[in-house]
Amino acid sequence: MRTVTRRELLSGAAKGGLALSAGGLIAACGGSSKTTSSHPLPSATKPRHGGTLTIGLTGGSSSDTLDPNSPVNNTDYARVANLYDALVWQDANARPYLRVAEEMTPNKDATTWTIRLRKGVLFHDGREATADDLIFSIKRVVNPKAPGEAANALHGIDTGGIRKLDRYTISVPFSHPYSTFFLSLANNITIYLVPVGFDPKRPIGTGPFKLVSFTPGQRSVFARWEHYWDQPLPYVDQLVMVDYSDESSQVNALLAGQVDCVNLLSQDVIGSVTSSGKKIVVSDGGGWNPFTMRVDQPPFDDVRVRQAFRLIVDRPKMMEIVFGGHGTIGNDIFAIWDSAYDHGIPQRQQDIEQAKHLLKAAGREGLTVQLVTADIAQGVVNMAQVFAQQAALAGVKVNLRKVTVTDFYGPNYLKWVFAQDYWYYQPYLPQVQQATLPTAPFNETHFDNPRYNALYQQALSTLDEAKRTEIAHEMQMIDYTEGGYIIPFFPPVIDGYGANVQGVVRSKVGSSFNDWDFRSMWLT
Amino acid sequence: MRGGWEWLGLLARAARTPRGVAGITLAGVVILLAIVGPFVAPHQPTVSVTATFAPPSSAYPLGADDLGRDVLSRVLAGGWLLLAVAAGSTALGVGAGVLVGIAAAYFGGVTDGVLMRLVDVLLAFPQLVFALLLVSVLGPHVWLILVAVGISHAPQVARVVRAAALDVCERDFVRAVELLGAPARRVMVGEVLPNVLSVVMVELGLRFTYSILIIAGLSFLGFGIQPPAANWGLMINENRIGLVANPWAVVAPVLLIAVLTIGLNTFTDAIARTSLGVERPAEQLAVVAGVSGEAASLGEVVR
Amino acid sequence: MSVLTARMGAVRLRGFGRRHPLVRLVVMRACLGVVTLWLVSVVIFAATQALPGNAAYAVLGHTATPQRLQAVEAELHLNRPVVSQYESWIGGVLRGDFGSSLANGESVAALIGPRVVNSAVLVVVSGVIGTLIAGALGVLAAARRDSWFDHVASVVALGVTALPEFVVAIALVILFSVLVLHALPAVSAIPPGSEPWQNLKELVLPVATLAIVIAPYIFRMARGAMVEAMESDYVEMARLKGLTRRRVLLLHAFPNAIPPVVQVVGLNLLYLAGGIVVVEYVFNYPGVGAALVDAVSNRDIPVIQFVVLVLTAFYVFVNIITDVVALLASPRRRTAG
Repeated sequence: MRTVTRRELLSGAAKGGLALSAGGLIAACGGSSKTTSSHPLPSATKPRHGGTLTIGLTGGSSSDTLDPNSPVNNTDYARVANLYDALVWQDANARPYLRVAEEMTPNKDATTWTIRLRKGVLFHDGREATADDLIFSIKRVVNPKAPGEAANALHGIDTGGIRKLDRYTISVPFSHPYSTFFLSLANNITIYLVPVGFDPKRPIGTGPFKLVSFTPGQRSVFARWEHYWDQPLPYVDQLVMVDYSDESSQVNALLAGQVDCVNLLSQDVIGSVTSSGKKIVVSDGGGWNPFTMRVDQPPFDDVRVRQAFRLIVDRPKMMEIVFGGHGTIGNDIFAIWDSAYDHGIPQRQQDIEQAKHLLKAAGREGLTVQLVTADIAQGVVNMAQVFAQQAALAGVKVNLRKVTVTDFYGPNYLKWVFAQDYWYYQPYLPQVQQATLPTAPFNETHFDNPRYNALYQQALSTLDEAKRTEIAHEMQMIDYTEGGYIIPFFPPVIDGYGANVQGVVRSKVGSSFNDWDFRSMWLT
Repeated sequence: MRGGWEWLGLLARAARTPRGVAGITLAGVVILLAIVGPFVAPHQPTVSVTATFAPPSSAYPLGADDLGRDVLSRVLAGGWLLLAVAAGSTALGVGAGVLVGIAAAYFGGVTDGVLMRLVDVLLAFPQLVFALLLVSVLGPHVWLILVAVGISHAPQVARVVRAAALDVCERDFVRAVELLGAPARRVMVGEVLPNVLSVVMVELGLRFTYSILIIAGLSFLGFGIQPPAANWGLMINENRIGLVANPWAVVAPVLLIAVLTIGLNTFTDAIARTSLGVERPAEQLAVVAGVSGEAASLGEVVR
Repeated sequence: MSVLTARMGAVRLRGFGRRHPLVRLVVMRACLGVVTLWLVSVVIFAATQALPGNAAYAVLGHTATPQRLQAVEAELHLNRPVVSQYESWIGGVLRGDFGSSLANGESVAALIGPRVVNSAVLVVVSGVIGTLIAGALGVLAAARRDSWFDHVASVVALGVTALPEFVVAIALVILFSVLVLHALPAVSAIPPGSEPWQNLKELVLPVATLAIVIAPYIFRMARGAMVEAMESDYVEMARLKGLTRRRVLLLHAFPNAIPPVVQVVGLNLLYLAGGIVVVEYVFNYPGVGAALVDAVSNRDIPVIQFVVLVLTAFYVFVNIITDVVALLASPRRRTAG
């Protein structure tokens, strides 16, 4: 794959291996251009500077953190996305683009990647970000004593072999071909740039906002970083994030004017929010909440049982009940917004007769199973309840076992036979690396298909995008016919905000406000 | 006085007072509804039948809840478990409390001291923490909620019963039976217990009300009875978010819990008044007994 | 307080313990209180060890992998034997150091201290306001027995006792914040670092909720105690002596009604301390109840222990106070024979 130059990025003329979309990259560099999306909401005014933006978030607790190595809940990601910059990010169409990195190029066999930083990117203490900081950031993520979340995306990295090529450029070798390295970084779990000697107790980054105060579980305050590299962003002077215990109090706070924005609402409150003069944005997120079946445990070790369960679900009905019809119907394959997603695979529908037939053939008529569920994300428990209802039609008795979130992610996590989970959006191949390989860190279905594994290895060495897409399609067919996931739909991301907030866009990335893109929002 | 089934007489008398009638009617209606409800529900309580939070209509007189299930059916089906657990935990708590209270009063001395100190320690135990931890460790099982709530009632009941039993133990007829050589157990059950019954009945009524409210509160916080079961406490929390869209999903269970507890409170009042013949609300009876009990244990010092 | 001194004077005593029954009571209860605190800390610690998972799982959540878990467990010293963990904790407590939160590393005292203050303010203010208003209403109702005021007040009190706490909270929010009026904040998120009394508007609804919840009990008790006091021989005597009704009420009946009311107030304060969780949850109030629920879910043992100790100490303290009042004011037990 040849290098993509900055000129090409700006002109949007880049094609080939760097971008997934043949339609060209979205420019996201300094100067006057901003990220654009295909679904901007009408804004009444031109952007203006000033004001304090207050965000009400659920999901926080006293384990909130500012460390970019380990964001866990939504509030963590929100803070991290605004304190720091990542090398690669996603735009509102879920297209990866370079953020604080100017260039990322693989060598001929994709075993070494060259990364060049932008010039003139300043940390909150005024220092310029250089290759040394980048090397430090990478080593911090893969530190074996305290590995960061993104360590998986850096598997096979040869940290000893990292070379500094010049003030802003480094080369990173891997022990295996890694054609999708760039894609692996294109989500919230990524390399955030921190300075050499970074101290999580006094965090500084290159992000649009710098830290003023932080009380875990309650509130964090940020101030505009005047020398942010991507001028004229950010627009607001101050960013305040407040933790809420549940949706009711969040919504009440929004309606009473105590906060400007709230995240991850359920469809039930859309009416009361809009009728009070506030606004709602419903995004077709690519995040997914699957039902997970362990393919190595009875009854799901029989593929007929898995297929039967997939046929039990009435997808549009479940989406209607749980999310009021918002969202995108799924076909048991993840990464729907990836250009390598095969939309040609026939859409599964509910087919109770066939499901019964398959269960009978597998000798599992009148099956009883336990489904483990928890309040891990909006709508998950409701989906479980609806699934239980629908399963009854096929003669399957589903007993719900609701546990606390802590118990769900406790020692039994990834060992539940039949459960649920939630994932943020990632492109297809990186998602495979996280979930459906025997070496995957979160292989909750315990999937281990030799052909599938071989295809993945092949994909990693394939730099040609078209060929890689073909491989991906074949893998997706295996997901479709043999996998352990039931993905009925991709849930919507429903956020609320006041009428004075501008710059809100509908986004496919699967987390609120276009991946916490508060830098692009302004107040009237 | 010997009294085998005297408590029935007490109940009957209380039931004839105006308060008693009002209380029994109110509570009775709700209890009947809870018991019969599951059999007369027009739809399945766990099946989605219409749009979420649909407003009341002829097919669904109370509208639909957060998953489009019929509120009327869920309300009819959602009482018996709550009542059963509340009744069970009340019985457990009062039973344990009566046992400890009478034993402490009867045996006196060291036994009394040890038992009452134990009660004091339990009373100082933050009950909510205990319940939270228990449920976190063992999971939100129905039997566990029953036990946890029951244990939290026992100490207070023990205190009250002990105070009442102390009075009884001093009386001549008890001494007489003892002198005749009756074993301790027979004396406690045969002589002391019947005479503290009025206090016990009042406690039963009070504790039952508290049980219902506590269990509803636990369900509200997510530590109680779990979905998809229909349960009044859980329904109040589940449907809170749609309060504006279809208030009945929340108001119906609230009303039922309220009517039940008002009825029970009123009836308990009636029992208290009938047994004492004075103008005291039920809690005062308990508190005064508790007060004089405490003072009584120090009375030895002051004598 | 002529009634009380009269009763005190009637007691005959010998020896220090007998000379000062009050002191003996307080000392005994305080010692028992310390033992209770210690017992409670042991039991709660044992219970937290029985929880599935530990703080490492809670901190890492769904991002947990075996390597990261090990790293965090080592960092938090969770792989030491249980007894030694307890010993180092209690050693620290005796030195005044309550340890650091496992969830975020901050000092427990610094983290939870302000939240204890927040909750204490809520409990005390609600207790005072609820008691004063309900007590006054109760006395009035007794004075005007069987009037329409009495009946209406009694029925309303009965109705309110039947409502769970969270229902009252939600109703108030709907009335005053969201649907009917928009006068008060729906959520009482007091910014960290500022004191509750600097945010009075945020306090109104939570305080109102708690005051309403305890008011009926205090009302009924005040009314009942007042009625009984008014019917007592002592007050009959005062009336026969020709004192005005008001004097009789305020100077003779009222003081006798106080002790049972104090008992009930004490009970309600204890109830508030435990029941405050629901109110904090609905109003997002940064208090100790919410901190406890959060700590249990995070398996944050030092925080759990601290909150438990604070709550238990509060229970012990209130129990001592109410017992003291009870002793001062209650009649002596009849002796046998």
